[in-house]
Amino acid sequence: MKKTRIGKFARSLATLQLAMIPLAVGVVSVPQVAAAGYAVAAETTDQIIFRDGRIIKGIIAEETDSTVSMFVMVGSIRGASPTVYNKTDILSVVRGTGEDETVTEAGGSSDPIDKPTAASPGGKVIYHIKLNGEFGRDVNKTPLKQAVDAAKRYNPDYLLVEVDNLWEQFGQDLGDETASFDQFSIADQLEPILRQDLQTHWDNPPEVVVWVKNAMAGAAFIPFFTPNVYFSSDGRMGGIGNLGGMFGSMGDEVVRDKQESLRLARAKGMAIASGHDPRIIEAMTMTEYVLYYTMDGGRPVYYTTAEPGAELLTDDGKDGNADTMQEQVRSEGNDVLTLRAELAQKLGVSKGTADTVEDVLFYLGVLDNYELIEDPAERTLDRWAKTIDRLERDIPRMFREYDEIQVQGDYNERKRARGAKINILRKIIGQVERYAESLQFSRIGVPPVAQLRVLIEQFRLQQLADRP
Amino acid sequence: MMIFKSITRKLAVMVSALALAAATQFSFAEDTVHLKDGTVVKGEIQRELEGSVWIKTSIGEIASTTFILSDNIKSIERDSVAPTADIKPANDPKVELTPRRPGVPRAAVISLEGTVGIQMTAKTLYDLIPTLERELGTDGTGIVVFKINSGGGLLLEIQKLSDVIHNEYKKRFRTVSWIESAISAAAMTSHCIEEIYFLPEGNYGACTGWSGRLVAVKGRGLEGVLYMMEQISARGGYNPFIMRAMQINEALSCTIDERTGEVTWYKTEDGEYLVNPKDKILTFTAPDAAKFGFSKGTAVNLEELTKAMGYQEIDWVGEERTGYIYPISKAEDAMISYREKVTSDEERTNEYFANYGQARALAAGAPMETRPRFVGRARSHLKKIEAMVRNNPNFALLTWGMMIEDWERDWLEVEEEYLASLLRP
Repeated sequence: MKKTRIGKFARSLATLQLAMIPLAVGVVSVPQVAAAGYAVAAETTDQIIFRDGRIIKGIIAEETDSTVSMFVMVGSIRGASPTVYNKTDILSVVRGTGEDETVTEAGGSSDPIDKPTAASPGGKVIYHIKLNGEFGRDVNKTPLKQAVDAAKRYNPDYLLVEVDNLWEQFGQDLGDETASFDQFSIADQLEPILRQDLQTHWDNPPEVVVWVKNAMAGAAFIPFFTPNVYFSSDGRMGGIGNLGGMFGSMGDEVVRDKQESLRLARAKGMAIASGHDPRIIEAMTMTEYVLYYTMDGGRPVYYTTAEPGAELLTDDGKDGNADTMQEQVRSEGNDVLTLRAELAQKLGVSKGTADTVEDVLFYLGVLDNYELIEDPAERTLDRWAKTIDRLERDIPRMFREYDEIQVQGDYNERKRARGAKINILRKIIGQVERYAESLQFSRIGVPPVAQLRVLIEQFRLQQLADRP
Repeated sequence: MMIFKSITRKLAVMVSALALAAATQFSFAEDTVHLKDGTVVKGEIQRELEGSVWIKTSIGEIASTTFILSDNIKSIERDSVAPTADIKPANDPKVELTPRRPGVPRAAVISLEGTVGIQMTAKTLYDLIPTLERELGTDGTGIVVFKINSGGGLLLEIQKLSDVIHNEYKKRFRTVSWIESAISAAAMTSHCIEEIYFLPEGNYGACTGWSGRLVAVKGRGLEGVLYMMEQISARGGYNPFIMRAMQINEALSCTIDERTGEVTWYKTEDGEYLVNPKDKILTFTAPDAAKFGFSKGTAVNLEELTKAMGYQEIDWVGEERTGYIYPISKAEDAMISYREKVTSDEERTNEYFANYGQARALAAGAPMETRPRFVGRARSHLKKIEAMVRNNPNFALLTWGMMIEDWERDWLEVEEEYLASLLRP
């Protein structure tokens, strides 16, 4: 069975387009090409690692069950025809850098993207970014930055960020009572991308609109990046209620108080900067925090003690006030606050309930004259997630291959084998460092980078010792 | 089609040639650094600090930047333009400031980030002063804004940082803090500054001293830190009760005079406003800091900060850089480079030691005829360790429990002598 490279056709197409552009418009500057989203010729070389330690670099043309064909490269010169190698001699085939084979400026999609045209005078451009998957893995700093950078070329009026993170284990929803406040540190890294960077580095910064479907744990902080929040009917925002007990009984109480205080202040600061009431953060994060509210002129008024007519939002979670199992499974607990559409709107966190993008746009006053761009961002984030998936498979495989290379034979063979080992280790280090924010060592099962570097030095020293 | 391809190819060659010409224009600039051991390193000096240099060398198309410690440099032959972060005395006659707009002061933002004592050190701040004087002038009108985003760090560095800010910066520049997040030792560092502004998301406090598994500093040690912060509070003009509520479980409340806005502080819960309950540790948010007069205001960007500081206009020195909400001055560029280097060293400390250890062991066990190879390798790793410590002497304290002078004498020289002895017959 033949495996061909999907990217090859795209690359050929991209090269063809690049070649044709000057003929169509006379002079084309590189930024214009990049801005139009055409694939930049960025062939990354593949490698074939042979069992005898040899490594050949080039571009793989075709791979069958028994052979690999490669356009061998010497320096930057690529062979005119592919050379066919038997798989029996091959230890490993390393494709590219573990990423897609063509890249675009700003990490966007590899497909040509046309500039939006629908926004007729006065029309609005909406750029839709979907944050789904596992927070901290699929949703992280680099892919979000790439998605936002990709949006810049469209000069959108709105960045619509749809939050729908995975919140389950073994296919079961983790519920309202499971909490992971510690993911705040990831949200803290995402915040500048959707706030300060836009204000500072965009000529016309878009308004950020967050549409909450499922915003649990670290993702629950994302709506606090902006005052423009909308919930879907079944939207949910919470899963950060364990700040109070995060440190258990470890150490001295005064230090635990300090740790809680600084975290709470940081989280409150995030909400304050967008005009949200910091007491909502405290109710969402601290079990002991008691909060009541009344409505006055359509706006909530908060109290930390019982007041006539005030409705309890969160109790102190102590003794008889602790949520029961029955309340927990029904999402009816009130030890900490989990926001749902109706309550979020009542408390002013959400500006409205919207089940479709069009509903959100309606709230924004954008009715018909608009251009909605959503695919590129989705592909950026999706590609990041797929790359992490692949690296979780590839890195352990590469490490196994490293282990299998035997340093034996005559001097040249030993030297080659050590070189091959070092090469694989370098490759692993490169990938781990680049994707560190989303890779977990427990999943990839290789030693930490520092240890890999020590291994490399070990082989260099062995080589020194071996040298005649 | 063939013609089109040919034209395209020619265009591509021309573009490549132009790009190469442009590149070589700069790459022709070549500095030569002669090392004491006879080695000659050629490239472009990117940066200098106290005689040490960062030099960009290249082999073919592959470029890398090497750090060379001042102690190892015999001489430098210069060809390229002056490095961006070269620190020279302020009275250097060659240094000329661009004409100042009448009545418009110059200002630079210096970021204080990372761990206090590691990425944020008194030595680095001290070393930046000449560069700042070149950029802001020496007539006392210059403004230094410390933009702080740090989760704290080493207790031992607080007094040193406070001293350099109070005794050196405040004498030369109008010195202010701009708080993104100043937690623990970072807040204690900022506390000697009278003018503190917050970003809207800013937070400041949580100064409880601790170590290991959340074990609090107690007894005489705690009293020492409380006393130190009383003195530092006086430097900044803050009521000492504020910092105490940030350090220990102590109540803090206040009343605000409606007419004058004057705030009176109490270390009880009896004031009109309860700022910190007695069983909590205080961390200010921006609105509270402003409400209780702790901060002078809240500013989301330099424009707002300019106004909050009472100016219509400030000449913010430096150049725009993606990812930063302020221009990057030469002093700030040096600060960023320092942080990158020290962060890399911090992450790689164990690797440096492991590599030195294995090379040293092999050197000791190798026969005399091949031993020099391993000694050379070991020396190269030892140099990395030395460069790490010289860049931030706190590594000597943290890793060996020694002051740098003791470390030089009792560890570095001993190791150097040991390696030298391996080469003696």
